[in-house]
Amino acid sequence: MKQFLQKIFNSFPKHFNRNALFHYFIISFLLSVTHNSYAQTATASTKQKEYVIGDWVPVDLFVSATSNNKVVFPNLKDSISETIEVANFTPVDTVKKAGQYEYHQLVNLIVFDTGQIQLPQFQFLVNNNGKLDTIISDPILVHVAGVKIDTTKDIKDIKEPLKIPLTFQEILPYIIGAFILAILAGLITWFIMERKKKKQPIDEKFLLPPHVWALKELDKLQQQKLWQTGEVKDYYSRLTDIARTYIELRYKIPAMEKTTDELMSSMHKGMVKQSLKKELNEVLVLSDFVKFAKAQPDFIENENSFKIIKDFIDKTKQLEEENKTTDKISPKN
Amino acid sequence: MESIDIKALNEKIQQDSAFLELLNLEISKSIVGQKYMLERLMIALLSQGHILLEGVPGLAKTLAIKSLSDAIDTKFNRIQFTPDLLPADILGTLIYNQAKGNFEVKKGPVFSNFLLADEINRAPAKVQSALLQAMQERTVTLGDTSYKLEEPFLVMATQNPIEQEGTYNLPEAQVDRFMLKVKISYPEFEEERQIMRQNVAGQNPNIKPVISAQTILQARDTVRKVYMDEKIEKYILDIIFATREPEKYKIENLKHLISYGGSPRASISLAMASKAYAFIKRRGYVIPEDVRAVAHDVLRHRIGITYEAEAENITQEHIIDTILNRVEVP
Repeated sequence: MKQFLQKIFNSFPKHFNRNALFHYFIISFLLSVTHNSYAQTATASTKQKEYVIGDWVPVDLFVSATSNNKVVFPNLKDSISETIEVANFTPVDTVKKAGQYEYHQLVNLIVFDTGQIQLPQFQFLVNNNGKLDTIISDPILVHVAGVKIDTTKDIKDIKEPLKIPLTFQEILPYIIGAFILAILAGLITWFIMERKKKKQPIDEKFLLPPHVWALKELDKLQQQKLWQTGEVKDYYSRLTDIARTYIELRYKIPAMEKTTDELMSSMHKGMVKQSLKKELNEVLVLSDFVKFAKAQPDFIENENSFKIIKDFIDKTKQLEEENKTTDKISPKN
Repeated sequence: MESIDIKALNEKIQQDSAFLELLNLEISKSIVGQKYMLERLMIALLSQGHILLEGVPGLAKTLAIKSLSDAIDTKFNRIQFTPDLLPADILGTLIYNQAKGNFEVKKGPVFSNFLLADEINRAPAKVQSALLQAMQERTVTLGDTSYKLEEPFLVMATQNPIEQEGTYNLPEAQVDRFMLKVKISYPEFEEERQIMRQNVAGQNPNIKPVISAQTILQARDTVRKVYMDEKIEKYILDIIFATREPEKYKIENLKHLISYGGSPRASISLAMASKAYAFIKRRGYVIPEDVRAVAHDVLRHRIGITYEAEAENITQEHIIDTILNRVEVP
């Protein structure tokens, strides 16, 4: 090959520097071979060279490589240096053009300094058939101007932060949270109420008509045979409690909280027949003797007291029904 | 539990309380009406208590206790409480006898059977407490010697509810020592007509002693024996506890109105006063009516009301009424 090239150069006229020409060709050949083997270029550029402090400085990163090459763009973080921050950047865009691949990425930088600022060089990694090369872009020089202050105008307050209207998506978690809390509170309340209901069953006396409840209680008292077993005090206490509770339910008089005298005064004329009231008073007075003065009535008095209370309930119940009948009949008359 | 023969007790009470008729008859010669006040005086006397009367001037408070004292043949003294009164003016003091060269005891007006402490709230606290200590302990110490007060010993203190300027209100702890606080009202129309006629005619009836102090002391013993059933004891305790913890008796609406309730002294006084009332009614046993009859007088000065209650014009009377209407009668 070398001999072939020597022959060609020897054919040139003698006034040519044949040796120099030979070396020139050799270098040109080698350069062309190298260019074909490493066909990757990387540039970083800005559209303009003048910016104001705080402005976005859009930097276009460009890499051209062959299809065999795999290019890795620089891993950008929040800031590049103390005075240069990265505002945002686009994904790498790839375009195929005449067997070459062109890679683009737009990086917006913010410069917090004034004067002539040199933007840093960007490093790209290229995998060239398993061989890792680094390409570095040229540095860019921009001029960053400061904000001009108009000293002729008044100094103004710092502006309040802008209020951004809340979006539904922002409120949604709170709404869901409140809804869940409300459901939980409701469930807990319901649970407590249910437990209370179970713990405090409604007294039967409030469910049944007064006379039905009272007669039922009197039956129970009779079956217990209290006075027959010497429990006279208990017998009279229960008997008067039944009578008082019946009066309370039937006539809405707080009979349990009244003394015998007070109760008799509360049962005014027309409420019950005087004969019934008199008999009731006798039983209550006798009960007071038994309860508070250790009186021991004989069995006739015990049975008679029971009978009087039972009659009182029966007769006041009947009177009520009679009253209802009278009420129904009277309009026709 | 000790066995009590109620029938025998009733008979004894019928006998021992017979003097009451006599006493009432004698006192009524000079006092027209005021039966309530006289009855309360008897309750306090029979149950070894003292009485605080509240009423406007001119309601025969002094005359009532004076007449009672005269009718029982006992010693009566009256002290007009003033801001410059000293404890020695009530209790007495030791006076140096120059001739004998020793100190001699000069007993004060407290050494009597019936003592009227008129307008007790006009004297400062140290004078009030000197009297109240004597009332409680029934003993007075002069120098190194303690002197027991003669029984029966009853203090009737008065307070004027209208004039409050320049007065020293009795502290709660001291007012608690009065068994009863009685509010006296004006006499009825006909009663006042009789009072007017009596005074215009210049009638000044002379009250004669009809019973002795010994009769009262004997009656006191009988009063203690008046039977009080467990149910009545529970009723009394329910009333007192309702003043302390109304919510436990389903009277929640009183909770914010009461700042403090009745003390154990209130329970004792209510029990003793109920027994005395039963005795006056010639009964050997206490019934709920007796408790209710004296409850207001025993409790009205033992229940503290809050600022909220004062702002709502709610009085101790209202609180006691509510409690009596809500606590179950045995």
